[in-house]
Amino acid sequence: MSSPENNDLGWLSEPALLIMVSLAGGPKHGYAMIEDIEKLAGVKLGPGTLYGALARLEKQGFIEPLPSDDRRKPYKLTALGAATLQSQLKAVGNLARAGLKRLEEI
Amino acid sequence: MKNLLINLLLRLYPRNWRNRYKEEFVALLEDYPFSLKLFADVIGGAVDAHLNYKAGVVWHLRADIFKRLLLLALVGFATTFTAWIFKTAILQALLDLAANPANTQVANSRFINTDITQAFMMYFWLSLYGGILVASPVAVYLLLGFLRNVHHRDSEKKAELAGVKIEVKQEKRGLFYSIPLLTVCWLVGAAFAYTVLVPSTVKFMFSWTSFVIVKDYIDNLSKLIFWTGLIFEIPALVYLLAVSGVVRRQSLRQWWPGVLVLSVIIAFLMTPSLDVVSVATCSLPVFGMYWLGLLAARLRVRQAEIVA
Repeated sequence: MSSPENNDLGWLSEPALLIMVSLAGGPKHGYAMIEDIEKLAGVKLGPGTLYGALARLEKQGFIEPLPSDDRRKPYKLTALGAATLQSQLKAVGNLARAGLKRLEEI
Repeated sequence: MKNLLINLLLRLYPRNWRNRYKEEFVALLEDYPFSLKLFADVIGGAVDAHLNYKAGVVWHLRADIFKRLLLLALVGFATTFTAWIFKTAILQALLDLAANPANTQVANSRFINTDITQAFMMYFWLSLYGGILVASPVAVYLLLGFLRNVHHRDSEKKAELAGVKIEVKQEKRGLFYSIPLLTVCWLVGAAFAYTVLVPSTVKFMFSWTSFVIVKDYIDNLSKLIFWTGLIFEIPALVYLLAVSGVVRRQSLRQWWPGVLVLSVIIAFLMTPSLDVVSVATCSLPVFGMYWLGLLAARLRVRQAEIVA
C-alpha cells in the first residue's frame, strides 16, 4: 500500500489518473470508464491499457471491485485512492497555476 | 471468429492474470470495436501484465530462482575449474585415440597447430564442455526442484481461487537420487561416445587428410562426447519429470512435435557437418531417448499400481 502524499503510479500514470478521476464520479465497469474518460479528456483508452492500469491500481489499494452478478465488474475508489487522487490533482493544479502565471509574465 | 480472436489474445496474458480478470476483460473486448489499434493495445497490455502483474508464480518464487541460479553458477564454476586442472590429462586421452597403431591411416597422419592462440582456446572449450557435463545432473536437479515448487504454488493458487485452504506438503527429499542417476547416465553416454563413436569419427577425419588441425580435432571430439553424455540423460530427465508428478505423462506424450524440433536443433549443434543425413542420424537417437524415458516412467507407474 502507498501513502497518499508520496505515491508512484509508474509509467501508466496517465491512464491510472484518468481512471481514478472517472471513478471519482461513482463506480463504473470497464466500458463505462472508457466512455467517461473519452468524454472527460478526449482520450479513448484501449482494453489492454485500461486493464493494465486497473490491475496496478487494485494492487496498490487505490480501487476495489464491487460484488456483481454481471461479467462486467464495477470498480470504486477506496479511501486511500480518493486521498491519493486529491493529492495528485492538487499537485497538477499547482503546476498548472505556476505555468499559467509564468506565461502571463512573458 | 471474434470469439476465437479474443481467446487467442487472452492466451498472451499470464495465467494468474487471466484467473483474475478473464471474465470482465472478455466482456469488454466483446463490446469494443475490433481494429489493428485494439490488437496492438491488447498485446502491449499482455507484455505489461507479464512484466508487472507481480502475483505471478515466477515472481513469487524469485528468491528461489535466484538461489538456484547462484548454486548452479557456483557448481558450474567449480566443475569447469576442476576440468581445467585436469585439462592435460583429458587432452591426452583424446589424442591417444589418434595414436592407435592398428589404424594405419591415422598412424601416418600428423597434428598441426595453425595459430598460437589455438592451444589456449582448445583448453578453454575442453574445460567448459567437461565442466558443464559434470554439472548437468545438478542443473537438472535444481530445475526439477523449481518445477515442483511451481507446481505446488499453482495448486495452492487454484485452491485459493476456489476458496479452499490447502496445505501443500513441500517434500524436500525424493529428488536427490536424480543426481547419481543422471551422473550414471552421462557417464554411460560419454563412455559410449569415447569407445564407439569417437574412434570411427577419428578414422573418418584422418581419411580426408594427412594433416589435422589439433583444435578442430579436439573441438569435434569433445562436442561429440559432451552431446552424447547429455543425450543419455534425456531418458532419466523425462522419467524424473513424469514420476515426480511435475508434468503429467499424457502432457509429455503430447509434446512430441516440440521434442522432434528440439532434437533436430540438438543435432545441428552436435554434428560438425550440417548435411541432412548427419542431422537425421543424430536427431533420431535424441527423439528415441525421450520415448525411452516415457516408457520407463510408464513401467514404474504400472509397477506401483501392481504393488498397490
